[in-house]
Parts: sequence; C-alpha cells; structure tokens
Amino acid sequence: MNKIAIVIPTRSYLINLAIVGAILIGAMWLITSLFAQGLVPLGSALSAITVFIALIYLRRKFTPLRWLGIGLALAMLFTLYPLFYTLYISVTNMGSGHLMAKQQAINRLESELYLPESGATYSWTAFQSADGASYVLWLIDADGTGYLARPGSPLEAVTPGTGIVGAADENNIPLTLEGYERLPLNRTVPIITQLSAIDFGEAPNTVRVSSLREAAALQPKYRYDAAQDAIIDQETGEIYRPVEGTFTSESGEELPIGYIDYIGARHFQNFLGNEGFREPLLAMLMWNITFAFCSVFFSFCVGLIVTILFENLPGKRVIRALLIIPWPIPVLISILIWRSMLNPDLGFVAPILESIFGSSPDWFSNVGWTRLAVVMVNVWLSYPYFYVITAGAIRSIPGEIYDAALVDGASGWGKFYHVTLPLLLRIMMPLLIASFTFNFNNFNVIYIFNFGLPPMPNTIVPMGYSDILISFVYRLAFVTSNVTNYGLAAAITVLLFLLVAGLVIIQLRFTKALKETA
Amino acid sequence: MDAVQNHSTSRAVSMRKPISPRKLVRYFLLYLLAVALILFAVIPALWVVSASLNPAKSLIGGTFFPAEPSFVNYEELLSSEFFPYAKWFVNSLKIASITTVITVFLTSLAGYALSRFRFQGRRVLMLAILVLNVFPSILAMVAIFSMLQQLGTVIEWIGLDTHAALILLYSTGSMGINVLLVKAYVDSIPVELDESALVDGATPWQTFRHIVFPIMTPIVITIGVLTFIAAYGDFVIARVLLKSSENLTVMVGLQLFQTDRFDQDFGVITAGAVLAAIPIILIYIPLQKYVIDGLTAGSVKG
Amino acid sequence: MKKVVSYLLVLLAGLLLLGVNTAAFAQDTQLTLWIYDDGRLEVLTELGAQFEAEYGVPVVVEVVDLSEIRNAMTLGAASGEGPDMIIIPHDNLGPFVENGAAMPIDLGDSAENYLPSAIDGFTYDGQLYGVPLAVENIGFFRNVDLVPEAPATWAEVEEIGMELLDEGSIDSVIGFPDLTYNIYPVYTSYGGYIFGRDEAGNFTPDDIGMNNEGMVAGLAWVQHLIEEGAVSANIDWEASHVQFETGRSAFIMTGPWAINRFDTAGVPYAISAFPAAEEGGEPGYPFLGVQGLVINANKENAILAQVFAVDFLATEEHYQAIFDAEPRPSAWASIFESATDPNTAGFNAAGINAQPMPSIPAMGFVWDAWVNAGSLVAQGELDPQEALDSAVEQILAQVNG
Repeated sequence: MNKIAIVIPTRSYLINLAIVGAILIGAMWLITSLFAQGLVPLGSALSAITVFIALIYLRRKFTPLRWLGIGLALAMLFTLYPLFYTLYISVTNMGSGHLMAKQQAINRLESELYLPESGATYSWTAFQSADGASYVLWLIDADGTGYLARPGSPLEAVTPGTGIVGAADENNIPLTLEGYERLPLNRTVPIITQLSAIDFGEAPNTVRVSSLREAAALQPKYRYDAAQDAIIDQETGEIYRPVEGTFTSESGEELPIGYIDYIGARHFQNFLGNEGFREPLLAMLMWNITFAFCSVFFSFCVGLIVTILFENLPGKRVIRALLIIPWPIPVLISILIWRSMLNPDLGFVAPILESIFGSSPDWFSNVGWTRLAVVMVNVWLSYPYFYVITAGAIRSIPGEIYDAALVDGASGWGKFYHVTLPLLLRIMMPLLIASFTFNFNNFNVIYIFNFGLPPMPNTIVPMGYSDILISFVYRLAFVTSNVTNYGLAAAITVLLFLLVAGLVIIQLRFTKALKETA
Repeated sequence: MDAVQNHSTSRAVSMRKPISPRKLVRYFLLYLLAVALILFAVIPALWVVSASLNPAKSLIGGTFFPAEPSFVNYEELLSSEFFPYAKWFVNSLKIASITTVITVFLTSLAGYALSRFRFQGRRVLMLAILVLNVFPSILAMVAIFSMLQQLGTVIEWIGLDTHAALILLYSTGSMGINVLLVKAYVDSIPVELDESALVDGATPWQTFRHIVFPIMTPIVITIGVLTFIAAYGDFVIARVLLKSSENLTVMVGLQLFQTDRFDQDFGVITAGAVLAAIPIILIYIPLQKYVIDGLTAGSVKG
Repeated sequence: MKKVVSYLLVLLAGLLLLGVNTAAFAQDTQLTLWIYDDGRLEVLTELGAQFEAEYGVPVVVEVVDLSEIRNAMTLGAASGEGPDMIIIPHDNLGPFVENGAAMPIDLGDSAENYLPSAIDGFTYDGQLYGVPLAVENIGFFRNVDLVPEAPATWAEVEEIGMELLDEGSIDSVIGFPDLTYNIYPVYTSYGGYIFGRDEAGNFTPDDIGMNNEGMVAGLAWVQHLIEEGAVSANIDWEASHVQFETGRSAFIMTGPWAINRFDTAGVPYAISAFPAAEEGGEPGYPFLGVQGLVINANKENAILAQVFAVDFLATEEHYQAIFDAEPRPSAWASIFESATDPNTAGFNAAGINAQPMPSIPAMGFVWDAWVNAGSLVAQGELDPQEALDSAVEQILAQVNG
C-alpha cells in the first residue's frame, strides 16, 4: 500500500534539499577529518551511511524509508559498525603489544628520543616573545656557561648584561631579554608540553626540553624507512622489520610497540580446536540453556499464579500491587540486595534457615545452590513482567469460550488445563521465546550475583559453574588478566553471536509453524 | 482489566451463596500462598530500606530491623565531597530522559512505517532487527570503545566519557525490539482510519501525526517507560565509557561504592540504592496502567 | 516530511547543545590522575590544588576500578585517551612496560630518599617506571583479649583457636579474607612461592612454584581447618573482617587498610610476625606490595605529568601529608622509619622478609587460577595437590597463549 502519491510541493522539496544538503556538508567535514587522521574504516562506514541518507531523502522511490532514516543511520553506526569491527578484530592479533594501527605505532616509535654520548644537557629557563608566538630558552651547561637558544639558529654563548641580554640573577639567569619576557614557573609549566615539542638551536645539534630541570641535545631514536618497510635504530643502526605486527631485528629482538596485523582464522582454530575447551564449554552451554529455560518457565508460572489464582480473591488489588514491587527496582540494586541478603555469614537469611532447618545452604560456593539462587533472583526480577503480560493475554480470550466450557461441565482445573492454558501459550509463545533469548545472554544476574563462580575444576582457563557463555567470555577478555587478547575475545564473541542468531532464526521458523497450524 | 472483571463479576453474581467450608479452606490456602509470594517480593525491598536506616557501619547477621534507625547514611551519602551523588543522580535522569525522547520519536516513526508501508527489503529489515537485537554488545565493548575514541578525536562531544555518546548508544540499543512492539500495536489499529484520512487529502505525515499517533499513546508510554528504566539502570556500558567522577551515573557510582574498600559503608550504599530506586517507582506507578495496555496489546497481536 | 526534517533539526540542535555543554570543561591543559582506591583521594586532591596554585595546572583525581584503568591504558594507547597518571600496585606494571605505556622515570638524586625495596618494586628490566608512594604488607592480627601471647606456629594457632571455639567464645578460629594474597604467609612458611627469579634477579615464568610441596602443605592446612569446622567454607572478605572486629574470631591476616575499621569497632588487637610451619622454623613472609605513580607515555602531557610526579610530589612534606591521611607505610625512607606506633612496628615485624610481588605479565594470569584453586579445595571438590596442579596448567596455558 504505497500510497505516497501525493504531490510534494516544490518549495518544501527545496527546503528538504537544503536541509539534507546541510547535513551532508556536515557529514563530509566529519568524514574528511576522519580520513585525514587515518581512521579509514570509520570514515568509510560514515561515508556509506551518508550516501544512504542522501539517497533516501532525495529519491522519491525510497520515500517509505525516510520514516526509518535516522534510526537506520544510528543503527548502522552504533550496531552494525561495532559488529563488523568485532569481526575484523577477530582475525587480527589485537592485544597486548598490538594495540595501534601501523602508522600510529610508527609515529609513536619515531617520537622516542635518546641522548647521544656526545650530547650535552642543560638547565633551562623559558622566555616568551612580546606577541606570545615564539620562545627562547636560556640554557646553562654543566660548566655554568649560559647560552641563548632560538629555534633554527645555532646556540649563542652570551654573558648576561651584554647586547639584548639583561643582567643575571644569582643563578646566572638573565632577568630580562629584549623583546621577550622571562616566564615564571607557574607560566612555564602549563606550556611545557608545547615547549618540549620545539627544537631549539640549529639542526642537527638541536636541544629539546626533556623535563622541568633539563633540556638536552636529544635525537630521535627510531626512523621509519618506507622504502624497505623497516624501523632503523639511529643509535645502534639495528634494522627492525615487521613480523606479524612486531618490528623484529635479525637476531630476533623485538620493539615493544607493535601494531594490529591480520592473522587469519588462527583465533577460531585455537578456540575450536582446543580439546580442553570442548567438554567444559559443552557443560556450560547446557547450563546456559537450563538457566534461560528455568528463568522463563518459573517466571511464567509465578506470573500465571498471580493472574489466575488470585482472580476471585477479596483484596486482590492490594496483593497484586505488592507483588509488582520488584519490577521498578533497578536491576543492579536488586541483585546487590539479594547478594547481601543471602550472604552465609552476614545476611539475615542464613540465621532464619538455620533455626528452621538446622543448616543453611551455601548460596555462593555450592554448585547446585548457586544455580538455584541465580534462577531464583532472576525469577524475582522478571515475574512481574510475566504477570502483566499474562493478565493482558487472558483478557483477550473471548468469554464465550469459557461459557462453552462451563456448559460442557468442565471443572475449574479442567477449564484451566483444557481451555485457558493452551490458548494462553499460543498467544504468549513469541514473548516466551523472546524472553528465552534475552535470558540466554542475561549477563547482569550471573555476573553481579556471583561472577560466574564457583569455579569448575581442571579447566584450562578459569571457568565457573554458574557462568553462562557471555559472562565467561567477559571475564576471559576483560577481567581475568591484565594482558588482554582482544583478538581471541572477539573471535569468541563472533561465535557466540552466530549461536544466538541461529537460535533466533530457528525460533522464528518454530513460531511460524505454530501460527500456520493455528 | 475490564473484560476479565465483567466476566468474573457476572459469574460471581449468578453464583452468590453463603461461603461454604470448602471455599473457606480454599481462601485460606490462597491467602497463605499470597502471603508467601508477597514476602518473597517485598522482603528484599524492605531489607534494603532497613539497612539504609541502620547506623551500624557493617552488616551483622540476624538483625532485620535496626535497633536505632537514623538517617546518618543518607547524610553521609549526600555530604560526601568526593562522591557527588546528587550530580550522578542528575546525570542519570538527564541521560535516561533524553534517551527516552529520542527512542520514542524514532521508534514510533519506524514502527508506523513498518506496519503501514510495503517496500522492498521490509521483511529482511525486520529479520535483521530481530537478529541484531541478540548481538552481545557487552562483548563488543572493544569495538565500541575504539569507535567512540576515534569519533572523539574529531567531534569531542561524542567521544569517550561523554553523555551524548552514551545517549546515542542507548537509543540505538533500545530501538530494535521496541520498533517491533510499536509495529505490532499499529497493526492492531484499523487501517481504514488512515485510508479515510488520506482520501480526505491529508499527507502521510498529517495522518500519522493527527490520526494514528494519538491512538498509539499506550504503546508510546510503554516504550518510554521501558526505555527509561533500561537507560537508567544500565551500568555495564556506562562503566566502560564514563570515567570522570562528575560524569558518572548513579548506577556506575553505586558500583564504585561497592568495590572492596567501600564494603564497610554498606549503609551508605543501601541509602544510595534506595534513593536511586525512587525516580523509577515515581514514574512507574502513575503509568503502570498504560504499560500493561501497551505490552499486552503487542503480545496479544503476536 | 518537512516536519520530520525539522524535528530532526531540533534533535540535532539539542545534541549539539548537549555536546557544547559537555565539551566546555575539556579544553584547558590539565592533568588527570586515576587511583584505584579511595583512601588517598582527599589528600591527593588537596595536593593537586596546591600544584595548581604553584604551577598553574589543575590536577583532576578520579577513583577508577583497577580493571578499567588497565583497559584505558591499553585500549586508549592508540589515540592518547586515558589518564595522564595512574597510581597502581606495582604488580600491574609489567604489561604497561611491555606495551610502551609506562614512561621511564628518572628520580635523580632523590632516589636515595626512598626505600630500596620500593624502588625495586617499580624497576623493570633495570629501569625505573614509577614514583613509589607507599609500601605495604599484611600482618598477623590477634585479638589480645582472647589471645594474649602471639603463637609461634600454625599448629598453636589452631590449638588456641579450637579451645576458644569449643568454649563458644568465637565462631571462627582465624579470618581468611581470601585464600591467596592474604594467606600467602601460610604458604611461604611451608616453602611455597609463585615465581622464582632468574640469575639477573628478574622473576621468570619458567620457575613456577605454585604447585610445589610448600604451597600444597599450606593449602592442606587451610583445608584441614575447614573440615574441622574451625573456619567457614565460604571464604568472604567482608565476613572475615566483621567476625574479627566483633570479637567472633581470634585471628585474622590482613593489611593496613583494615586498621581504621578495627579501631572504629574498638576490638583490642595486636599485630605481630607470622607463625612458622613448625617449632623453630622460619616464619611465613607476606608479599611486599608497592604502590606508585606511573606516567602514561602515550599522552602528550607526559612531561607535564613528570613535573607533577617528580618535581612537585616527591618531597618529604608531601609524603608526610599522604601518610597522615592514610597510614600505610610510606615509601619515603625517613617517614617509614620514624613511624614508631605499635601497628607500624607490627607490620614491619611481619614484613621483615617480605618479597615484592612479581610484576611480570604472567602474574596477571595467576590470581584467578589461584582463587579458583582455593575455592575448589574449600568446597571439597579437589584435594590441594590437584587444585594447584590445575592452577599451574591454567597459568601456563594462558602464558603460552
């Protein structure tokens, strides 16, 4: 029903054009700036998005998409781009020692300085020209000789009190310098970063500010030679050539700063081909499915109880109002509350259970009890939502069906079992399935409640019994160690996404089949 | 509630008779169940309130109600010079509100379009929304981090540690499934309404703005409330992006309080938690009815 | 459609305003310092204000989770994001150095003012990479009302504790805040260690002691206590401290951070050297942790940060202020030595043979594996030998990628 056949007035079209044009100019500026900084992937992605926006807002054919335009643009930038970027990381060696693009790594290496054996060191004082645009240093070497150092011209040994140089103070630093102002410490320090980037004196014998106390004849340590694609150590003459993102010398010595390089599917092979991973991961997957299923099942049951059993009970409004309390409490807070309540030594639950049953379960270190606890907490968090949905779904079941059931002489239970439940399930199936998918990756409950612990014995990387896949990868990638292998983490992320996306597609088939039989 | 109520009251009237012993037992059992469920629902909430009123520095087993309740924890929380709780609170409200406005605006347009217009790629788009929705974005943090870092080098205000970046991420993240909810809702609005308006010469935009949008109120409020709750409650993404203490949200701040060295101030943490829950409850209570309508309409249509 | 577009414009304008508002205070030159615990926040903020008064550059101090500090230092490396300076425990240094993220530091003559062990902690491959602030090691606390004399062996600890437990005067013989760092002296008294050193004195992952006899014997003692019901199988930091401060446990092994809370709670305690494995044996020794300030070499303000760290901060007066704000043994030798209160003396006695925690990158893989080994033994899933063997396997698997 594409009925956008109404004539768009020319004036409005022109305004449209102007606005889209303005957005395009802004986008162009952004894109060129990104390219100028060498951020090619992001620049390209933004270019694609811009072209897309321009097309749908300027071509009549794409009119319906205009309603979705901004949303789609945002989704491309903030969902699709990270997805592809993750895919890209998964085939690189990104991680400790390989954190920047090649050009950035080269720039970083070329900014390293060293002091040649012949190089002198000085103490320094900064002078600023009257217009504030240029600086001169007064240097004093180890022998106490003073020099005037300007960028681009050789150092001049000057005695204070001669020429433009005014009389010296007790430290042999001139108090005045014609055309310049001597900077006190509190004006020197804020500009020390700019000062340290200036080469004073004439090349190649330039002097740089290296700290508050010292300026020295520093030289760049590394130079990149594009012709042979190698880094050359200016001090030793050693040549470092790139080997998988690391500059390596003939003798195998490596420079600390490497770059992100393509390594193919190695992470996938390492992960999938590793015997040690298979068995515990399978166990984890089973628990992951169980956790998601139980969470949905029990939340649904509690929701159903609240809806159906209390239907004719006097005071049901109050009961339901109280029962909905968990919903609006922020999840983080809820989980933290449960954590402290169940603490075996400090929480108030343990003494109560002990006085009733003589012992209290270990909610954080026993496998079964921990799993029970996370499901329980999750049910607490989500049953109000299910209650609300169930109530609405039941409302939509036509009353005649019940009347027919009554005529048939169905009892309360029979009516529920044979009439209400099947109808309810059919109505709610899509939501139950969506909820299952959500819980499959329900990171918050698992991670905040017990960090995926207690640990599984004899695994090759730390894994926990209450870990689900997402919390396991999170821990592996971002928490466990201080030497992160982002490439491997990205590879596992991609696999996890494929798994869950597969689940979604199967579910779609399933719901469709269900609808067709209905 | 109307349908259910009508239905049940009519039955109750027709079957009114003295309460039989069997019914008494039934009521007793049901009330027992209700009390058990209410305890399950309410105790954690009560416990956090009582802990926040407990002046003792740490939790000591066994006491549910503090012997001498006081507001010291709240005073301490709000007077801390180095942990600007009030500022975090304002940040959270600001971020969640703007995210809500953007999400509601974008999803109602998109949901309407997906429901009413037939265009090439529509089915693929809906499938893509469903599939992308399950992308574990927590694990894509490295990518998001790098992207914002790069954007930030050109446009400072959507870089890392900015609220704008967080708002855009939240808005995008909450669009997916909400678009489908809106679409399901619009599907349930008779298409004849639009058609007659269009025949009368209204533009599609006018039709949407004046005819369909007003009918969409329940779903719009639902999405607003859900988005607000989600953006307000998030701590995973915010924790990675926000760093400077004046930029943090309440949830990230609460997590900061929770790190080891703060454990002794459990009372202060719970005071922070109680205050943090208030806005959500205030928003939720008056709008509850709409949320129920909005959610169920979508689900019922499937 | 016109209206849609104008809405969009309003939206964009709103975002722009928002951005302007956020970007407003990010312009001027300033230094950021991230610290991972809050104890020194106040004093460092004050020192930052002093620095601004003297040198004209503001210093912003933020409390950031240690794992987030690591992420920002590594992921932020490429574009120069992240803090200018960080305060970290020295065992986190290795990966920063290996990524070129830590700037070499030259303390000049001032180096003599520091404890040699503190300088040693921040020295990596012969080069100094941090300005040490404080050193710390844990001590052996006992409740002097319950236990007037310090026990000499772990067996005595158990004996005294079990008696009190049977009397019902305590719930737990000894507090174990964790089964790793805070009970390391138990392991070392039996001869355990984590990484050995090579000839040059650098720690090496080639010599891993995690599953040697000493480590196993230490963990076996812990297991024995749990099985006897002398300590809870639920190893919990907060619970162990609460039990000690309420007089419900006789001993605890913990560090200077607990002093303030124990004083507030009013529990009568004394700190002493750790017991030995057997009569006349060497007492157990703890890890020596050094906390220091590291400069982010990827930031353009690195030289400015150096002015703060080396030229401004490193004076006796400032170290005294830091020590007064939070009484952890100072890395400044004269302040360290002049602290004569019984607590400090107790910690010093406990730490007399303390060994710096290894700072090599492999150490990053140790903690989780070690924590897991402890929990597995506490839960009775594995015996100590199996658990530590498995931990070593996990560490090696990750070291070798």
